[in-house]
This record gives sequence, structure tokens and C-alpha cells, in this order.
Amino acid sequence: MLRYPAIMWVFVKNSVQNELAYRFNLLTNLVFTLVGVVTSVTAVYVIYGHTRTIQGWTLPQTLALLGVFTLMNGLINTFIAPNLDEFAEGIRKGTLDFALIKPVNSQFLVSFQRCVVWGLADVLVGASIVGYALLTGFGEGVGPLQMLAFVLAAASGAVIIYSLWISLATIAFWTVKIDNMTTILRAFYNMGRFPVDAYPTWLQRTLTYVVPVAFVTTVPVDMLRGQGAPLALVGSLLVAAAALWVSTRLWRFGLSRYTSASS
Amino acid sequence: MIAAFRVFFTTQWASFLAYRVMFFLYSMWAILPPLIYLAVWGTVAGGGNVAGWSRGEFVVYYLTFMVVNHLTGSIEIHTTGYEIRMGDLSPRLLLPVHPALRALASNVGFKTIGLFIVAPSVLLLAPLFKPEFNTSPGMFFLGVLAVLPAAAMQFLWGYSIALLAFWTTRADAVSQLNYTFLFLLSGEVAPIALLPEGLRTLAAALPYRYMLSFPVEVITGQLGGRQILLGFVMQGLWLGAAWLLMRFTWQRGVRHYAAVGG
Repeated sequence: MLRYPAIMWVFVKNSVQNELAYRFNLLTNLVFTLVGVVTSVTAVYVIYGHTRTIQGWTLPQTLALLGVFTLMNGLINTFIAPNLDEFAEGIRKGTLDFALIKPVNSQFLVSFQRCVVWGLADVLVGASIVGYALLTGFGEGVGPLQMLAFVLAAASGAVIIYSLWISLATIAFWTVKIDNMTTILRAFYNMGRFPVDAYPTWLQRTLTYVVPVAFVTTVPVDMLRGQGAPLALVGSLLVAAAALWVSTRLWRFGLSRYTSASS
Repeated sequence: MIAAFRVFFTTQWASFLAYRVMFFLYSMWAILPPLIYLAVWGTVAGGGNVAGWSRGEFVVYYLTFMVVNHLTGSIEIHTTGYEIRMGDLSPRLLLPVHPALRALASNVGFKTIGLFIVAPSVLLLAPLFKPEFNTSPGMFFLGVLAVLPAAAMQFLWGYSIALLAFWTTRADAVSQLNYTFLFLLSGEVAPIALLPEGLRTLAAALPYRYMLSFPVEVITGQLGGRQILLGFVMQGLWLGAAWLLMRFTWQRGVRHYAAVGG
């Protein structure tokens, strides 16, 4: 088990070296991170220009949520999306064989062998927004306990979004093309930029039980707001464990269908 | 030219019909992002109203926005931009008609087929939100009329951006930036009337509002006679500017074009 972090480190190192060869791309991507963040923050300010709270969420609290959204989006763009795009390509071309013959867990290898480092800019910016929101009138009672609950909930949120993504990606074993599927997932993930409480009930239910985006952004920030703990935290950890388990089952089931692309 | 357009249109139509799943997904993209702001504004309004807007009025505004957004949106970065990058433009330069005609046929075909998915989806969504429609048939008609110049502006504007692919491989980045402006200044994040002072002034001067938000405002009966007249004048001016921009980028770009060899 101990060698997995070491392997992960090698993947990251390789990817950084690869990406640094395209410095202009790095620069344009940084500009886009900034434009994206300025746009989303403006959107939040435009709405709060007309109201003090949305279903109990104050401006700093919604900003913190946007920070978590940006951070998770950075993780998706750094680790999840590039790997799973490549995975679908691997099925089409048959290059997935190379991942399968290596003496490590194939799901781990396919999920993390490549990372696009510029996504980490979103992670940094997202974390700064959360920090800023916490320092500027987020609310009373954010102690070490709340922070711990927040970190745990955010971690299980990351596990949930990863499991969702890879579960959808395994569909590629049957259909070969998955970019359509991930497009839908992204459209739903985008709804996580506002607390689910701001949506009508039917949409809240969809975002909690069908595409559990609520656990990725709303629940972690709820931990900081002192809402719903500890029940929501326990729920989130359970959903994360279940989602991860389902994803590994689906992965193995899909893999048994793989016959490579050569004739 | 009309005959050529018809040929392009029929072939594009047939090839689009082969990608039915794509249209379904596309309609999700046309509907889900504005749905976020529809839901949030609806919640903010609650039982009362925000700056004179009731919940039902937001609903009508955003549902109209979804349809108009589909009818005016530019897809040229994916069609023409892609053709230039892959070198597929070359054979089209040999035809005795401007390649923009083909792009236009593709645009119109895409929107016609897409409308059969977007419109029913919006109608299905409507009862979930309880819309309050208060406009007159005259306003509705004028608004629908304003969709045409808005679509033409976005086509010329989007085509010009796609033509940047003659110079750079990152024309998609410019297109993304353009989308950001549309998002903020053309009524997606909030109806223009609800924007803060600074953004509202910017929206009135720049072309973006006239590409999308203006027809929606007219259809939903928000504007008075003078404002509508002014809006049409601005549409006319910016349409002319977009036409010149397209001509200019085309002439410069095609001279710069070095096709990808096989």
C-alpha cells in the first residue's frame, strides 16, 4: 500500500515537467482562471445587491461556497477530467492494455496517471476565497471542531465527485464515447455554485439523491455554518463510502467486458 | 446564392439528423445554466418581489431567455473554427460562393432542429415554476422581430471570432471570453434592469445586450416605446459594425491562411 503515494508523486512530477513545456498555454489558462473567478464572484455580488440572505445564507457564506466550488473544480480539471478523457481514448485505440499489464491497481492507474497542473490555480484561488469569506463576517462559532468537520465533509465531497465521474466513465466499456456523459455531469456540477437551499424542492432532491452535488459544496460549508452537523457529516461520509464501493464494482464489471481494440 | 444556400441547408440538415444524442445534450446546455439563475432569483423573490419583479416574472423572463438564447447563439467556433484548424476549409475556398454561406446554412439548420428539442423542454419546465405572463401581443411580435437581428449579430460576431483560428490555435479562448461578456451583460446572471449601475451603463453601450437580452426584454413586455426604438437603432448600428468586422477579419485572415498539409 505504501508504494501508492510514491507512484502518485512520480505521476505528478512527470506531468509538471510535461506541462511546463507549454508555457504559453499555462499563462492563458491562468488568465482564464482569473476571468472565471471574477465572473462568478460578480454574479454573487449582483444577486446580493438585492437581498441580505438567500434561505439563511449570507453573502460571505455563499462566497465560501463559491470558493469550495472553485477548489473542487480545480481538482476535477487537474486529476479527474484529463485522466478519464484519456481512458476513453485508451478504449477506442486499445492503449488501455498498457495500463492493465502494470502491477498496480488498474483503477488507480487510469484515474491518476496524468494531471494537468494548471488546474491547481483554481484550487489555490478557491481556497483563498474560502479564507477571505471566513475572515470577513462569515458568522459566529467557527472553531477547530467546525473546521475539522468541514475538511472531512470536503474530502468526502471530493470522493463523491470522483466516484460519480469514474462510474460514468466506465460506460465507455460499452459505448466507447463518453464526452457526452461528462458534459451532462459538468452541467449538473455547475449547479453547485449556489447552495442547494436556493433551489426549489424538486431540484434540491435531484441534487441530493440523483446527482449528489449537494455533498460536494453545500454540505461542507454547512459544517462551517454549524448547520446539520453531525447528521449531514455522517451522511456525507456514508455516501462517499458507498459511491466509492459502487465505482470499484462498476470498474471491475466493465473491465470484464474489455476485449481491446486490435483485430 | 439562394440555390447554393438551399443545397448547403439540405446537406447540413441531413448530417445533423444523424447526431440526435448531441442535440439532446446540447439542449441540456441551453437550459441548465440559465435554470440556475432562474431558481436563485425565484427563491430571492419568494412570495414578494425584488426591485419590482415577482417570482412569476423571473420565471417568464428566464424561460423566454432559454429559447431566445438557443435561437441567437453562435456555433461558428465549433464549425468554422474547427474547419480552419483542421485544414478542411481549403476545398471550400475553391467553390464560387463565400464559405460563410455554408456556415450560415449550418447555423440555421442547427437552430431549426434544436428548436424541436429546446422548445418542448422549456414547455415541460414551465409548470414546475408557475410563470406569470403579462405582455401584449404587439410586444410579443416586436420582440420576436428583434430576435432576427440579434441572431445575425451573433452569427457575424461569432464567425469573426472563429476566423481568429487563421492566426492562433487558441481562438476558443477568445470565444470563451466572449461568452463571459454575454453572461454578465446580456441578461443571464440577472435581467439588465437588476444589474448594478456600472454594469448597466456598460450593457447599454456594448453590443452584447442587443445580441440576446434585448429581444427577451421586449417579448416579456419590460420596455416602453422609446426604449424599444432605441434598442432597434442600436441593433442596426452594431449589426453594421459586426458586418464590417467580419469582412475585415475574413480578408486579412484568408491571406494569412496556410492550410495544414496532408
